[in-house]
Amino acid sequence: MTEAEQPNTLPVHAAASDEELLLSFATERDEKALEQLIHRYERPLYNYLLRYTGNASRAEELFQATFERVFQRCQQFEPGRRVKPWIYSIATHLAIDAARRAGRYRTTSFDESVEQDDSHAGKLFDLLSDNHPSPVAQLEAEERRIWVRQALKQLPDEMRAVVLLVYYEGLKLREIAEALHVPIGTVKSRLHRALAQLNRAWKRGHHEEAGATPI
Amino acid sequence: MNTIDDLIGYLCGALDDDACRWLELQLELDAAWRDRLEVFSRALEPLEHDRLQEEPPACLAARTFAHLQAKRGDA
Repeated sequence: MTEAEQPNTLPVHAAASDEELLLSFATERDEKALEQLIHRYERPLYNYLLRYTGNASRAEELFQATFERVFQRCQQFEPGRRVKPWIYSIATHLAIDAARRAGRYRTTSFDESVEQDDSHAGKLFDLLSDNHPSPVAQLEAEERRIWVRQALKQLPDEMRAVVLLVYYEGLKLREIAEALHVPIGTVKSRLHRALAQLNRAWKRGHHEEAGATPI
Repeated sequence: MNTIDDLIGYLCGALDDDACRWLELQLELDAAWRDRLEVFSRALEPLEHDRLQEEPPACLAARTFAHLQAKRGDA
C-alpha cells in the first residue's frame, strides 16, 4: 500500500500489531483501529479469496463478509492467539459455506473457470500492446500463472485452502489446523496430496520441462 | 509427531521452531531426507508461477469500513 492509500489513522495504529488493533476495537470501540486492520488485510485477504474462489466479485463479497464477522465476533477473540489465522479461518469458512449454498462445493471445471475470469483477455491484450523487451516471455509467464490458478481451483476445497494458507499466506501448519478445526496430521496429508495432484496435472500438461515432479 | 512429509512445511516456512530444528538435524544426518527435500522443492515450483498479487477493487477496504460503520449506526 502506498502512503497515499493509508487510512487516516494515528501513527500508533500504523505501528500496532494486528492483535493490538483488534483488542483496541473490541475493548474501546476504537474505530480507527478497525479501519487500520481492514486496510492491512485488503490486499492479502482479497487475493486469498480470489485464489480460493477464482471469481473477483465473490472474493469482494467474502472480504466484506469476513470483516462483518470480525466486527460481530471480536469480543470472542481469545487473547494470546494470533489474529491472522483467526481472520483467515473466518474467511475460509465463509467461502466454504457460500460454495455449498451455491452448489459449487469441491471443484469446478477448467472450462468454467476460464469463462468466469474474463479479466485474462484484457491482461493478454495489455501484454501484447506493451513495449516490454520480452513479450513472449511475459506471455509464457502469464500462461503459467493462469494454469496454476485454474489447477488450484480444481483441487477439492479443503486441499486448496491448505495450499493457499501455507504457500501464499505464510501460516504455520499448527495455525491452519486450528483455523480449519482439523488435526495437524490432516493438514500435512492434505498438503501432500494437493501437491501430488497439482504436479500430476502439471506433468500431463505442456510444462514438463519446468520442474514437474512426482511426489 | 514429525515425519518426512514435514519437509513440505519446512520448505514453506510453516513449521514451529522445534519441528524445524528437529528436521534440520535429520537433513544433516540422512542423505535420503536431503534427496526428498529436493523432490519436494521441485514439486512446489509450479506454485511459484502465481506469486503476484492482484490489485483489489478500488477502495475495497474503505467501502468495507463504511459498511460496518453504517451497520453500527443502525444497531
